[in-house]
Amino acid sequence: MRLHLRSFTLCGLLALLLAPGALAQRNALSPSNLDALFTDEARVEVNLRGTILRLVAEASRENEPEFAAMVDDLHGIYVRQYTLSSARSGATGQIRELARTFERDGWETLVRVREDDEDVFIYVDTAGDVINGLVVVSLDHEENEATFVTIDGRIDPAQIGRLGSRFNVPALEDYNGG
Amino acid sequence: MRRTLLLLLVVFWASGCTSFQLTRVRNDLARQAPEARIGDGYAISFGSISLGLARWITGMSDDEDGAIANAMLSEVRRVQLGRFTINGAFDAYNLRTPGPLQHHLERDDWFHLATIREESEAVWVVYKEDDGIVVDLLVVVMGEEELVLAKISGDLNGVVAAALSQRDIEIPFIVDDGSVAENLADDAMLEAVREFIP
Repeated sequence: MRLHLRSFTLCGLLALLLAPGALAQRNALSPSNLDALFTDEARVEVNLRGTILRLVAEASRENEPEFAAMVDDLHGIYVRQYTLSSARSGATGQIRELARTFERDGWETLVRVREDDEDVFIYVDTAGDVINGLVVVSLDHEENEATFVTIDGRIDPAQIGRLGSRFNVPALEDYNGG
Repeated sequence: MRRTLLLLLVVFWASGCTSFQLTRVRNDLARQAPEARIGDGYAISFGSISLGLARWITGMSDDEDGAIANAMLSEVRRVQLGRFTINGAFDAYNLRTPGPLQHHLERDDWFHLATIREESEAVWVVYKEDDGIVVDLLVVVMGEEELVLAKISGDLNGVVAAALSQRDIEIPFIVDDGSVAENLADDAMLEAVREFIP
């Protein structure tokens, strides 16, 4: 029993060490990590996963079967928005650095906008023609908002524009999978 | 339908018990935002007897609304509703997650579906699921004029799916015209509260 336990622990550690960067990066946007960057609680938090996500698909299946099929392939959709002025000292720099680590770990940059009053980064985790995850990081100084969106699961590139309009991610709406 | 609702109302009022859990949520928010001056209201609980009577009444209804209400009630085991007046302005951004909800999330295997804080309104939606079935749903809406609380227990997949299918699903990047949480709160819970309770 002791040996089994030790083997199991070793396998678990190996699995963690060999895990792709994607998992680590999604964890970087975990609620606790994001909460630590701000003094106030999130203004908006939405967690769609498990049974609720399945019910979203079921509710759409009759009128929007393609959308329902897309949601079927998702594991979760997570949104968090904070008041940007409640960011702790140095948090803005940490967020920008966090966004850059996605690039370094092989995520594909879909959108990168850096303007005086707004930073928007959108990264996708790809494997061949398949997208396994999508992350949006937005710092809007004019609206005083920091927004983080994680969509975890298989996404058809041709559906990204649809995902943008359906989930109201403006930067994605014009993307046609090309 | 009006007669059905009236009968439901009488049944609920006659058989409801005070919901101490919802009262604790109300008291927590009152402590956090004394300037809101949360005032009179009620928090009542309906169990199997009153819901059984409600199902019987809606079952007699010959209109579509009655049939829908009957179908939804058939899977609901318990309903707790609360509504209190709000008499002062408050800053919703400063409100923390009410203690009883936080307790559920930390200790009771509940999940956080959504929180929305706007200038003068805050919404919390938490739920519990068991083997692919949403078995508890707790919604708290603190608005400019009233605090509305609702907790529904039972096999709620049908109730949630019905709420989600009532209008377009918008998952906020952030959206201006609604969200899943607001849909759930506005369309299902609040309509139920407003129809069943004057």
